[in-house]
Amino acid sequence: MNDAFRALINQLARNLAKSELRQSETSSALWVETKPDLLPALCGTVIHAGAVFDSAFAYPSSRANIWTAAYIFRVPKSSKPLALVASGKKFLSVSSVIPCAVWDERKMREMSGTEFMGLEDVRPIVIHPESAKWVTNNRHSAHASHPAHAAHPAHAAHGLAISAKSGHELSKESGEYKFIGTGEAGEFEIPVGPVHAGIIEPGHFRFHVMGETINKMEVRLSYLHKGIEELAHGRKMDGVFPLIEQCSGDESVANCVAYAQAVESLAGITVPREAESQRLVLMELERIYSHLADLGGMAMDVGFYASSSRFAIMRENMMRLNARVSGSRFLRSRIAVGGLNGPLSEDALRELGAGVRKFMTAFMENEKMALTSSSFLDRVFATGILRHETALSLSVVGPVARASGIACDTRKSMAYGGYKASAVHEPVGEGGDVFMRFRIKCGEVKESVRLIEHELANNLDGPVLAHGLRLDRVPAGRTGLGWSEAPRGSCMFLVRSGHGGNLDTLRIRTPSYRNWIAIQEAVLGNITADFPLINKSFNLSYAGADL
Amino acid sequence: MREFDMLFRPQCDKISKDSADPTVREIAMLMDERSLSPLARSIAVRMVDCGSSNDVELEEGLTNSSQVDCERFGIHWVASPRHADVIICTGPVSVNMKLALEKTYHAMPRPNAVLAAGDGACTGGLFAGAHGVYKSGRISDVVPVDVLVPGNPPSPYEIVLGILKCGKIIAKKKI
Repeated sequence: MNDAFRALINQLARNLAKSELRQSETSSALWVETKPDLLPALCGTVIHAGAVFDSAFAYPSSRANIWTAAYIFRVPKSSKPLALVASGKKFLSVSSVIPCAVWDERKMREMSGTEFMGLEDVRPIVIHPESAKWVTNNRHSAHASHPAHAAHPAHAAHGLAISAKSGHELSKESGEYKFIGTGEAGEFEIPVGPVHAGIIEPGHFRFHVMGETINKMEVRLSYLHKGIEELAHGRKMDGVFPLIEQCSGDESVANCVAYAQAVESLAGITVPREAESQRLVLMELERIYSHLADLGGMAMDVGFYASSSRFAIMRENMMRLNARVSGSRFLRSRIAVGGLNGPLSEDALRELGAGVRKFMTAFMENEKMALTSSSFLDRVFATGILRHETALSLSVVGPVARASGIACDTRKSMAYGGYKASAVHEPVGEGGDVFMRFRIKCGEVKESVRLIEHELANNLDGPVLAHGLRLDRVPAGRTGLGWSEAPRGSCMFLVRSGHGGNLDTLRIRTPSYRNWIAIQEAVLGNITADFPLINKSFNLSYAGADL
Repeated sequence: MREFDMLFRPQCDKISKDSADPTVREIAMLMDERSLSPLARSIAVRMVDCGSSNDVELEEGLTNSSQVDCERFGIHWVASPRHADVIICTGPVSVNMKLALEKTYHAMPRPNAVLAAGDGACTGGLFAGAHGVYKSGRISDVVPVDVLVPGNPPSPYEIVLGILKCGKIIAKKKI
């Protein structure tokens, strides 16, 4: 932890009573425990001191009816995050100091049933009022009888808010989901979705337009909400990887690594160096194929098919390379707690080395082709600008933040695993338009290839799984954080251990959840026809945000 | 320029009955059958993501890549269910998507076919008992399904084969 921050926390600890602030440090975070009514003030203090809001999670504490809320911050020049934690029946909303926490608090309020006082927007976010009637039936038949749920005091006492109330009550209470325009005379609404025209995921966009120009846009998500976090409750800690891979298909590796690191930190497991190195290779392969989809999509959305088909050819070739290297086109079922499920074979790694070199030549040519085409540049310049200040205040992550001039790569700032030993070059640009996001993603692909080649050069031999793993001996009630830099930005996992190696709590914040709010800002003043392009340049995951 | 062309020369995979991939072999056989029929050679497809983790969508997108090139099999992706012969549904069906799936299905002209792609759509997969999933999560809990394509996720060729099978089923359905 950064010295200035440690001094700040110590200062606060001196000024406040012991019951009001307690600090403890684990290998994954500096935990500061406080009272619910002090949360907004403390959040304001750490934000003022330069910390960046990362995520907020609510989970049942070990006492009945008491919930714990954890607000997690990334601290500059610090290798681990700061977590402000409070437990209680009611919380004070921090949305006045952290505007983007509104989404997190709306979700926490709905899922926990606890109140966040001062939260103005209390529209349900997870279960849509018009669909709520189907939830209860389902829970009565399958979920309510889940032994792990019943055994948990807090869950048993009031379950999730959505189960405690009948669907009908929920719809009556919240009514129809209302979209809020700017109220200007002559404003039209354009509803789009949930089923879109392209081969993409479902989500609803409500445009409030004045002629062609977008005055306001609201995103309504959660069409894909399945309940991954709740489903993981009570399962074996090393048995939920298939579930975590389902958070967001093209971030499977990054999410699994973040989860594995959270478990490793709370269980005190050291991952062998060779496993870290191969995890790095898998994560960078994932970044390459994921970015190729975005780059090709951007070219496609401006009608530049010559370039987009070439990106598609490269993507399919990369997917086939993935399959030969790891056995799965999506690099799945490789990550395990403590390392990897078996090493990547030497032949595979040799093939990978040759494959990425060939790929790089094609990639450079195609990048040049796009960036020297005036018809392409004309559409992407100054389109969908996300201003630096806006991006900062909304805690945006990933390539989107970097295109708006914010360095936030956790591979560098909170280096983990194999990245500790390799200096990652983080491309940062200015302007925050579609053009810059295209450039940043191109830069990241090239950096990924460099990292893979670097990693392949210092070929390490050795085991890829930690020895003597006994997850069933991990004491219950330990909390660990894990993060990784997914293609779309950093993700954050919070894991609490239960008895006998079971999971007590799993909470997930994917990069998409942070960035969806920013897209509402980036489209303002643009024409409706440019929305698909702007959306593609963000390329956020719907499934990752909905979980 | 010549080198540049070499790098991007259309790289269509060969579809033959002695391919190493059984899916490709089956596609080759189906295409032989179809080529003899004077009509019903093209299939318009629309997809509805009802709860998957965008992996099946990515593979569907890659059926358009030059290697797979689904248009050579007569498969065309369309923007609206009103133009579609087949909808590909991925799952498990979330409660929030149930209504949208029903509406999309009823917007299709008849005769049509429904393809459930991916483990979630076929069986509910890992999501049995999740509170956000409708019933068991199977597509067939909401709309009638004609073809199942399991896989985590199914490959582009498996999806193409599934669509071709749907084409066969539609040809037999009465209007």
